[in-house]
Amino acid sequence: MPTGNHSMSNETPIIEINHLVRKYGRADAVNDLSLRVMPGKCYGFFGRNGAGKTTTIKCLLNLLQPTSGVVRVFGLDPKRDEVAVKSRLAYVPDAVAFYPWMTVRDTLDYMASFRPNWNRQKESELLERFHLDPAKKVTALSKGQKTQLALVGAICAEPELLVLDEPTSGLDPIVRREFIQTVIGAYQDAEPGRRTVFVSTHLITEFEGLIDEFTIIENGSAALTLEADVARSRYKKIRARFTGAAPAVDFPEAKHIRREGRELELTVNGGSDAVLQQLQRLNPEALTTEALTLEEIFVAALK
Amino acid sequence: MQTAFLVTVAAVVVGSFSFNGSDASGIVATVFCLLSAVLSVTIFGTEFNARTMGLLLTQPVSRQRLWLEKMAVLAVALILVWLCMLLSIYAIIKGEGKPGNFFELAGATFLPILIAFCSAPYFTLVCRNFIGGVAFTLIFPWALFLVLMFLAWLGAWMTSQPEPWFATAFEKHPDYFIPLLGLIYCAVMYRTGYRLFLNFQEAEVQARELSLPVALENPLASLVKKIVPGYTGPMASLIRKELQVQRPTFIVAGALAALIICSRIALMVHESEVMLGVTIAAIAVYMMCAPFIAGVVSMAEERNWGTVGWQLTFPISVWKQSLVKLVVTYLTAVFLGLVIPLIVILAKNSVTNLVHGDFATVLAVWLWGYLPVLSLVVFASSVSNNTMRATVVYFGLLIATCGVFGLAMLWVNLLVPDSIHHYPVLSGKLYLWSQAWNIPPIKFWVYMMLGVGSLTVALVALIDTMVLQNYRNQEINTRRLWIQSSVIAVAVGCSAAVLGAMVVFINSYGAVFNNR
Amino acid sequence: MLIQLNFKSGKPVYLQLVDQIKSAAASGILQSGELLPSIRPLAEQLRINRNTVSKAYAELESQGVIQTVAGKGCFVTENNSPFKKQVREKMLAEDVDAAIVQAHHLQVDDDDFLALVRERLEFFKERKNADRKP
Repeated sequence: MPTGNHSMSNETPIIEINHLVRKYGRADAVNDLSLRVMPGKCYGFFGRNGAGKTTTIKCLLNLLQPTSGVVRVFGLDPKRDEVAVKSRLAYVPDAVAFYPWMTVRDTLDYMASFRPNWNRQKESELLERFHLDPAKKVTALSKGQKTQLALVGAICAEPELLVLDEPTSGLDPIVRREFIQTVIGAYQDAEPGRRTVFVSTHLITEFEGLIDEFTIIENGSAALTLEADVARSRYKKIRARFTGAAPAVDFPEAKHIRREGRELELTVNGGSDAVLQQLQRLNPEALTTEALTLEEIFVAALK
Repeated sequence: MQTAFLVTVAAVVVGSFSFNGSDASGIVATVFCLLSAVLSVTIFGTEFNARTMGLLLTQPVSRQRLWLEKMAVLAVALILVWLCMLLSIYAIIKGEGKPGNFFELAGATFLPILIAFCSAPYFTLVCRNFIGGVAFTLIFPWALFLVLMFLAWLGAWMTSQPEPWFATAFEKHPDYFIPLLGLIYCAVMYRTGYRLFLNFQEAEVQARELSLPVALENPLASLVKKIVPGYTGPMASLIRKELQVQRPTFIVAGALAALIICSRIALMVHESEVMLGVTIAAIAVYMMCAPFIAGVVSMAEERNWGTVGWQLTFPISVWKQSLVKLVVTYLTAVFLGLVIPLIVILAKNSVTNLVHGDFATVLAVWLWGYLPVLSLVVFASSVSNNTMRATVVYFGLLIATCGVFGLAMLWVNLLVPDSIHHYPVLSGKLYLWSQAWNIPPIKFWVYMMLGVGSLTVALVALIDTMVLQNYRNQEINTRRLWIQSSVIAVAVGCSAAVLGAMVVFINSYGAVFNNR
Repeated sequence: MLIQLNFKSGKPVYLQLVDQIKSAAASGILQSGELLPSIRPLAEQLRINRNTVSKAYAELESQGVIQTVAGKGCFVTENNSPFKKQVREKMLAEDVDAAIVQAHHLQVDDDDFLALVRERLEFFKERKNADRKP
């Protein structure tokens, strides 16, 4: 499995997971997962439903404990140094829930009371940006607004690591865009080395521009770990059109082959030159190459 | 709903086994009435908790049919439980525990379940909250009754009649009036509930937390803000949050206290058997409710709202969080259910009077039993996702504990055969014991309290260790739940049996001593 | 300046930025001495990582296309880079390629194609002259 090029100095990874195993009923188990997130990166964590994403995140936050394997956040053990780890990170869960009697203002004050370096100025900027009325009860907020509130709470805490679990699912496109813009804008507003993002999602297209590196988890283990640019340069879709019926030739370098009448479509991971040569010898009428977006890479990698 | 049904049946059966003494059937009947209210609320309560109300209302079935189906199921369940209760009391309770007039008991218990059947659905639909539903079902008829009495008295006073005609009639024939009023109430509530269900709006499909109407809430909130610290530091925030989580406890306790005060005033103005019954019953319910609600909401509500996971990711140790939660829960329950009544009681009696009277042993049992029972409720809350489930688990656990207690006592009584029906717990022979051992009664009482107190503390510590473990784990492991529950039931049941055995042995010793 | 990122091009995002800014500077869309958008708003607008933008800007600076003035921002450099004309012609070459491919599909042979090009150049020249006359 190709791993990204970690051209590091001796930096401690912000997140380090080594051979994590967590048994968890029948679904959502993690089975020998390893990954590493370096400081300042925006790391994508993709996978199907039930592949183990939420379980992994819960292990990072000490909501679950690993059956075996090592999990380190900021180089610390989330179980032993629980408070030290949690005080440097902020979490936006997938099911955002607040205390029903609180207003927006109360919720923010509540969250702020646990964080010594809460940024009041950023808080008022973000509240204005999202048009959130501080006096409104949280039960009167829409789902999108609740997510925005959770994000405000996470960002104003000035954490070094932002952990997002399916943050934009169920939100309308405008809110989704604003969410990502806020992560880029308000969150990354400090030294790059102290602003890491770990986002678990299946809305990969949204986060395409943001992701530096990603891991695809399937059946509890890492199916693919790559840097985004490297992935996009390696994965290609090659289309060939022939004058007669498409030849039923085998392409060992290709990951997927699709034949439809006169057209042939191949998905390759890195071996595009060899495949192109092979195709050209078959004299196609037309030959095009197209790179894949991260979402298409996700689909290709898991099929 | 099935679990609630089974728990109610088990409660009446096991209760009949475990309770002896002259009030046994009364206790079983009271438990039955409470649980039937709980059962009636679960009919619609489950839909709100499982968030299936919206789904239910979009089924291609007419609302009349949905209502009738639900009510039919509830009716069958209630009748079955009622028959079980009557059967258990008839067949199992022996001796002085047997009720004087069996048919009177049957009739007396039928009215409460009819009230529960007719009014619980309405209140559940209105409150959309389990505790609110049960509280309203139990309290509303009484409050209404008090209001009626007040109006009647007012009417009489205004028309300057020395003895209004219906008051005499009412005093002399309560057996006719109360059922009549009850039936009218049932008919009205049933119809209102039915109409509400037919017109139930989609916007109201979410469950709600129990809170006061907005007009009341704001001044109260500002009052609370002055007494309780704001969200300034982490501990202050946690305390404030926990107190807010305990809001239903304060609200229901407040409502019950108001009911008690009004009944007391009514009693002072106009003596009446019925009013006395109402007051005593209200006091009993108050003392049972405070620990129950405080414990039940402590963890189950947070799980219901979904905030537990979020809260656990805050940079404060989980241990501190759960400790604050437990402390606030216990303090609230003790303050409302123990301290306030104690103050009220002591206002009328000095401690020496208490110790000499029959009431002393009741008091002792209540004080000793309060904390372990509270711990049971907290444990039930720690393994449940909502208050309804917590209630059912709690009653199940209580039944199991009573069962263990009953079995153990059966064994004890085999060793001391002739005191099998003389549980001194309810006959107040505390002063006799102190006489037998030549210790001044107060000292004796203090020794007993300390001795039993340490046992209580040990039990509470055992249960709360499990609670702390459960709070941290958001998922509830069924196997572990059964193991923990069994351990608790056995521990508490046996401890109670040990105390009961001590009492039995002392009593027989004391009887021997007194007969010299 | 409108930047269009294409995640399907297989080219690293920061390089796409570099190329587009270079083209814009070369073809006059970005004038010499003009202030470039700062990193944060550009990243937000394009919804890409800030590191990507800063990497692109760093690359542009190392190639001498832009320069950073502390406290003020990034400016397009003043000097007339000799690459400008080459860049412009390269841009045009892509469009010409597209036209050639189209010609092939429409079965227009080389001589007819060149004749057509000359005809269109004449047409535009005449139109420009017509506009100039009062």
